[in-house]
Amino acid sequence: MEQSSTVIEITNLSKSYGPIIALQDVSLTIAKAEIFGVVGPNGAGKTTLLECMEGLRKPDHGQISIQGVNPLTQTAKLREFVGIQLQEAALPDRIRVWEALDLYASLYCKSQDPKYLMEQFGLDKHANTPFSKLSGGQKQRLCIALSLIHSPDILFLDELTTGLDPQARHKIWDLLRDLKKQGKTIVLTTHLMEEASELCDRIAILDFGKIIALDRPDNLIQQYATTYQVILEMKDQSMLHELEAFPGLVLHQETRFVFHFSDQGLRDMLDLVLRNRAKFGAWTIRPPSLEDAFLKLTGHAIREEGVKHDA
Amino acid sequence: MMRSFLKWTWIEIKLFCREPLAVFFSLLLPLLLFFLFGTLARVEYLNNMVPSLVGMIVATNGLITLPVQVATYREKQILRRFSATPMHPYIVLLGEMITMLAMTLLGFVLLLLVAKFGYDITVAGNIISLMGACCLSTIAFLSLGFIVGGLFTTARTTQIMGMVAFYPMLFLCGTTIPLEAIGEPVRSYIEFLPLTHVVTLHSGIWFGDSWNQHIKEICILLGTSGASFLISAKTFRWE
Repeated sequence: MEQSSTVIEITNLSKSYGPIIALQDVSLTIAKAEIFGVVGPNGAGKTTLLECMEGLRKPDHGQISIQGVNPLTQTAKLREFVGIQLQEAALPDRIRVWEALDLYASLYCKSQDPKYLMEQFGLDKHANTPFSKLSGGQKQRLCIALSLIHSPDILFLDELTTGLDPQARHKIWDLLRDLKKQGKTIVLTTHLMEEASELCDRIAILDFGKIIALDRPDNLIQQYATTYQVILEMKDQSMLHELEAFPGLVLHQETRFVFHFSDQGLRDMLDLVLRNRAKFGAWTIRPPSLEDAFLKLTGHAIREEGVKHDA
Repeated sequence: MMRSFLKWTWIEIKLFCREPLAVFFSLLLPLLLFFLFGTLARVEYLNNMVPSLVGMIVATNGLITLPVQVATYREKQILRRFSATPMHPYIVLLGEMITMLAMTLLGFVLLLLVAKFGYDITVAGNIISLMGACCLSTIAFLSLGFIVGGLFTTARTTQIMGMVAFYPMLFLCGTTIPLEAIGEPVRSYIEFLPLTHVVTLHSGIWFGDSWNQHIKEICILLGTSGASFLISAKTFRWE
């Protein structure tokens, strides 16, 4: 990464809440126009990391530079070029869409026309709708619109598509890709691995406050997820013994077989399938995904809420 | 900055008017009570009603409406969202305070109008002085409200604690039972409740007293405001 294109630089960041460690010695750099994803189990420190960058929380140790600005000491300067969307949609229930945009526009030195933003985010028909009457997707679009009202260079989005239906989610992804094209840098947290691999240029996997992996999604998959899943549906019982003896079998239910393979095992299985094509019904191969890499790195155990602030 | 503060305060006033419960308790209930007593009570008693009901509006807005609103803003992360903009959350609270002050004065004016046109009751004292007394009392109670609104995490708890502070004052301080009717042993205790002084000051000025005759009440209310602001600045939870 070229030094000149770096917009966010974090070195040795640590933060604890009493006995609970939220961040441990986190260092990373983010380049201009990059979509950077932070993923991790509940309580891993994702929100704390974002809040430290936003100047909303004071780290115990370490430095943060956002376009050369220190979020803690130059907060006023930071506010003018940084847009923020909090994990919870934070507006009064009865405020109308246009009122919220109009108010936020008045908070900044320079701001975009609320009307234009309403059109761009498909909210123009809801200008007079109270916030609490909007659908989940509309609320999130309004929150993104509010975070963009002063045309910031950098956007921080905390779990912006949680609870949205696929249509609303894809719409928001398209919006973010457009913003990237305009040269905006986006830092987001998400629990959806599909979202992270679709959208992000690079991903940091956070666990117990530490970065345990940081790379492009395809590299993470290649490095940590090597397992192909093959699901076979047999037409009859004729190959039962052969399949049961095949290495990599994880599940067998009547005529349905599920295998996990690395590269070599997959090749052998493909051979077998192609040679006996007539005996197979449906068969599918699922390539390794970011979710596999994520689970391999962070384990399968359900996490307790580590840190209250990172729900 | 001024522009966004005015905009926010205007939105707050609109939000208040869209909240049926707030409008009912702060503006309509005192009027309904006035009509109720107006039908039931003798006219000479009605003359005492306006100062008592103003006391009730002041206490409702200060101890319940404002704290619940502030706690809701904290609970819903609205204060936090504003702290992520160039507008300081203090401005948010200031806008809230101006709104409640305006709504209290509005409630007061509505009462005066109903008294005048409904029952032909007019103020013996100076109307400007009365407005001044209303502002002073409201500021004292709103500052108390910031203590209540700053202490508890949820709006629900805040509402209950606000009521715990509100109801004893409502019954003991001359807003429902006249001060003269309250017996001697309790009388010395209600001196410590600020609403007593709100009602005393308002009745005094209502019947034509000058400010000079109420130095004690004025000092107590000013002291309450100052002390409560200092305390709430120390104890206020932002998240």
